Amino acid sequence: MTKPMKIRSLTGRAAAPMPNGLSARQYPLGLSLLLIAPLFLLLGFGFIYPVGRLLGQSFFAPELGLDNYRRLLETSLYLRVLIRTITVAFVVMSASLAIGYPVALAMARLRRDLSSLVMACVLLPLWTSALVRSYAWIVILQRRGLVNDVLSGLGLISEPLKLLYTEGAVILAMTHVLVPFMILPIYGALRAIPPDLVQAARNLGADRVNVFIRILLPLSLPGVFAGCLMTFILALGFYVTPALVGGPSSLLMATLIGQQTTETLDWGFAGALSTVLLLVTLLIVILFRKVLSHSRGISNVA
Amino acid sequence: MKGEAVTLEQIDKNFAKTAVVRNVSIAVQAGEFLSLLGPSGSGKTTLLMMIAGFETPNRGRISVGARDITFEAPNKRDVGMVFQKYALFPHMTVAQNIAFPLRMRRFGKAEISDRVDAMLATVQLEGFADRLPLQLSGGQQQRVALARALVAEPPVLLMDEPLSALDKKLRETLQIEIKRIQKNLAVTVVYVTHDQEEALTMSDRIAVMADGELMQIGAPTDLYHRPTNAFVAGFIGKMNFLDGEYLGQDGGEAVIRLTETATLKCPVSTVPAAAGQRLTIAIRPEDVAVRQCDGFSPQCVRGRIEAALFVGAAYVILVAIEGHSGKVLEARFAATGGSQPFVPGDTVDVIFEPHALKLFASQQRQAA
Ligand SMILES: Nc1ncnc2c1ncn2[C@@H]1O[C@H](COP(=O)(O)OP(=O)(O)OP(=O)(O)O)[C@@H](O)[C@H]1O
Ligand SMILES: [Mg+2]
Repeated sequence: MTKPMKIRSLTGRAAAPMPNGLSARQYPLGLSLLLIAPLFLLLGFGFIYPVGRLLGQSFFAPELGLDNYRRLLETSLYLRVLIRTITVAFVVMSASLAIGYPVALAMARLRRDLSSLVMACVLLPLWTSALVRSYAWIVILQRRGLVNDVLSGLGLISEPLKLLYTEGAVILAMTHVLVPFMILPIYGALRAIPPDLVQAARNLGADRVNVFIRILLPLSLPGVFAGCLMTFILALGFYVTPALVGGPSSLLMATLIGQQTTETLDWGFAGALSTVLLLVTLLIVILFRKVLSHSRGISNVA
Repeated sequence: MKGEAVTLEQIDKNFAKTAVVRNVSIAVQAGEFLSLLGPSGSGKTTLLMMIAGFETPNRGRISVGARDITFEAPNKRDVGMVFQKYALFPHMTVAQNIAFPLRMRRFGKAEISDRVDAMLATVQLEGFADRLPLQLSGGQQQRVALARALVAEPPVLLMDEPLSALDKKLRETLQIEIKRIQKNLAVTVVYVTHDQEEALTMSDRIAVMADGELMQIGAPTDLYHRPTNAFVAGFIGKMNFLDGEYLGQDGGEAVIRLTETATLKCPVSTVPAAAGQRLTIAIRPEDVAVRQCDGFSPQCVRGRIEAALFVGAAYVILVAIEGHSGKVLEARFAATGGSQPFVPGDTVDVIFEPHALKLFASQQRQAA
C-alpha cells in the first residue's frame, strides 16, 4: 500500500523538468545513441562495409552484369548445394530440438545444484573450438576409429563402414556443435515460467502430461523459436565442421564460398553465392517472425 | 456444491530436519470460513501446501470429508486454490483460464461455456471473457483466479493471502465479495492472511499459528476476549504486558504485587503460577483507566504521563508506572470532544479494571 504511493510521489517530483510525453522509463535519445554507438561502429566497419563490398562484387566482377547469378542458377550443382545446405540446416535444427528440449526441461526442473552441473556439461563443448570438436568426430568416425573398432570387435561388421565424409557425419557433428544454442534459450524460457503456474494447473486437475502440453510447452515456445532460428541460421553458414567431416558429396554453401575465395579466387561468384545465402537467411528470419507473431500471447510472455 | 469438512490430524512437517509445522490438528467444519493467522514463517503456507498436495506431511493425516487425501496427487484432490500472485495462465484468455479445470475434467463444450458464463457473472466480470490476464487490473485478475478455482465446484477452497497485493480499498471490496460468494456456494474455505483485521472480519474461526505450532483456534471474539496464552493475547489486537509477582489467593481472587507499593486483585481462581512466583499480567489499552491523581483508590498504581497522542477516534496515552521496570503502559479512550485531558509529565493514577486482567505464565512466548 505505502510502496506504490512512494513511487508515485518520486516520479511526480521527477516529472517536472521532463519534456512532454517522455516516459521516465526511456533514456533520452542522445544517451541511447551514445550507448549503442560502439556496436554501430563495429557493425559498420566490420560487417556492412566488407559484406557490402562482397555483395557488390557479385555484380561487378569480372564485369558489370548478372553473369554470376546466371551461372549459379544454370548450374545444377550449385542449386543442389543450396538445397542441400537448407536441408542439412533443417535436419540439424530438428535434431537439436529433439535432443535439446528434453535436456532444457530436465535442467529447468532439477534442483539448483544439479541443474548447474548439467548446465556446465552443456556449456563445456562451447569452451573448446569448433575445430577441436570436429577433429574429435574424425577420430571417432574414421575407418579405423572408435565406432568401426567397436562394431567389428563385436563382430557386427566384417569390414569398416564409411562413416566419415558423409552427409550423416556432417549432420551429427553440426548438431553436436549447435545443440547448446538450442538448449540455452529453451532453458531460459522454461526457467522463467513461475512455478505457481504449474502448481495452479495441477491444482485445477491437470496431470503431468497436460501440464506439459497446455502450460510448459506453449509458454516455452518463444525459447523454442529463438533456439530454432539460431541453430538454423548458424547451420546455414557453418564452415569449419562441414569442411572437415564432410566430403565432396556433402558440399555445403559455406564451403563452396570458401573455395571460391581461397582456391579459385573468383570473388564475383563468391559474392553471388553469399548474396543468395543471405537472402535465404533473411527469408527464414521473416518466416519465423511471422509464425511467432501469429501465436497469440506468446510475445507477451517472454 | 456443498462444502466438506477438512481434518488435519497431528501434522508434522520438516524441511531438511527443521520442523516447520509441529503437531497441528485442526478440524475445519463443512462450509466454515477458517483463517490461518500468524507471523511470517509460522508455517501457514506450508500447511496450505500440504492440503493442496504440493507437500506431504512427515507425520499425520489430512482428510476431506471421509476421504483420506494425505498422499493423493494434487490433481486428484478436488481442492480449489487461489494463489497469492493469482497464477493465471498468461497465454490463455480469461474464459480459457476459467474453462481450464472443466476441460481437465472433460466437460462438454456447451456445459463449459454455460458454467464459464455463470462464473463470470458471479465475479462480475461479464464482458472480460476474451481479455488476456495482462490486460486486467490486479483486482480483476484476482476475481478471475477466484472464478477459476470455484468453477469446478470443489468442496474446499484454499486461499494464500489472496488480497495482499491489492490496495486497501480494493481489498475491502473483495473481502466482502469473497465472503458473499463463499456463503452462496457454501464452500469450506481455509484462508491464509497476515492481516488480522481481515481475519477478524471474514472468519467464522481463526487458527493462530506461531513457529509451526497452533497457538489457539476459536471465533474472532473468543481470541480477542479470551486468549489462552500470551502469544495470542499480544498478537490479536493491542495488549499491555506487565511483570508481577503472584502472592496467593484471597477470597477467590488472585493477589498480585505489581510494584513495591501496589498490589492488584484479579478474580480468577486458576493462576498459571505458584504463590511467590512471577507471572505476566495482560490488559488491553481500552481497559486501562487513567485519572488525575487523587490519592489512594483500589486497583490503582501511580504513574507519570510520558506521551499523550490524539489518533482520530481515540486518545492514546503512554504511562510509565512508578517503581515498575517494565515497558510503558498504553491507555486508550474514546475522544469525545474537547481536548486531550492529559499533559506529558502529569502524575496520574492508573486503574486496572479487575475483570479485564488476564494472567499468563511469565516464560510464555509473546508476539513481537
Ligand atoms: N521449500 C522449503 N524448503 C525449506 N524451508 C522452507 C520451505 N518452504 C518453507 N520453508 C520454511 O518453513 C517455514 C514456514 O514457511 P511458510 O512459508 O509456511 O510460512 P508462512 O507462515 O506462510 O509465512 P509468510 O506469512 O511469510 O508467507 C519458514 O521458516 C520457511 O523458511
Ligand atoms: Mg506464506
